[in-house]
Amino acid sequence: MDVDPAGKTASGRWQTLLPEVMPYAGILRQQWLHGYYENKYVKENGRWLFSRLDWNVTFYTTYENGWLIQPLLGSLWNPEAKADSHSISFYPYPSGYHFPYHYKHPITGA
Amino acid sequence: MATLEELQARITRLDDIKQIEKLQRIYGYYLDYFEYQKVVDLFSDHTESVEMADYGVYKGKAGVKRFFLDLLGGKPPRVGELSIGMIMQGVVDEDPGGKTAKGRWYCMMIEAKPTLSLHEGELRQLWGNGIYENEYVKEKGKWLFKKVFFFLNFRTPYEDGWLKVPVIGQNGPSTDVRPDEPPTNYTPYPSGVHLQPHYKHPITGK
Repeated sequence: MDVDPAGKTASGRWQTLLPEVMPYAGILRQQWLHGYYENKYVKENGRWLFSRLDWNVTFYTTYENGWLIQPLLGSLWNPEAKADSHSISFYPYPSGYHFPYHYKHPITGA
Repeated sequence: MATLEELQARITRLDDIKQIEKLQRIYGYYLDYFEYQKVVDLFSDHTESVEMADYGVYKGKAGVKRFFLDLLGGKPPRVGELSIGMIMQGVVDEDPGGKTAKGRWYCMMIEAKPTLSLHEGELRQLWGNGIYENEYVKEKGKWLFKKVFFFLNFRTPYEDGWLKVPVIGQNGPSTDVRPDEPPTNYTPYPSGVHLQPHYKHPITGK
């Protein structure tokens, strides 16, 4: 977590490992997901809120197969959800994609 | 009522702990992406050592470079190589002088790695788990690693699990990029060895 100098906005990087059970074609399926968050926060009326939530999926696989055998289990895109645009950085494993950090290196500044 | 000086000291201490937590976490994120130079740059020029699992002890800043750049980064990651380390549950304690600190962290690994040797063999998907007991030092107002020690609990193929195969891909000390000393505490599951915490029990003091 990094709070910007003025203290009104902040950025955070997190990672998630999700054990899930979700229905697929009417059958419950156990699955593992991993992804990184790079989120932005804003302070309004003394309280912190999200201003941007961005979760970048690494893999989305079945419990039986795992990420190496099956990195991505179907599409996460749902046309009925009517998103405003398509994903701008959807590059799951094994693309080798580096989801950018909001922070600079604390020593080198790079 | 605390004096202004006492409050300043407390804020400095709390800010130090936040900086150390960030240092430890971004170390993990850099490792996830095989960015070994960035990891090396998080270590003090006066680093004691870095030691992980059964690789042995690499001493000094020169040892840090040999371990991360020459050993782990000796070959570029292969297509599909995955090395996620979730660094969690940190307990950070600053020493009284405010110049050094210690931290214990869990690391849960989600990997796809060659298991014949460090850089050779078929990729296998792995679960791993271990504990860090690290030391930090404050230099010119910034916190750096002074010592990194990683104790491996297990590293197992996804298909097998830790009970059936506690450790796969056990390389032992490298014969190409030799450590300065052999491993000091390589006793994975099911040894039952407890990695001593740096902290004392806050109530009993033991």
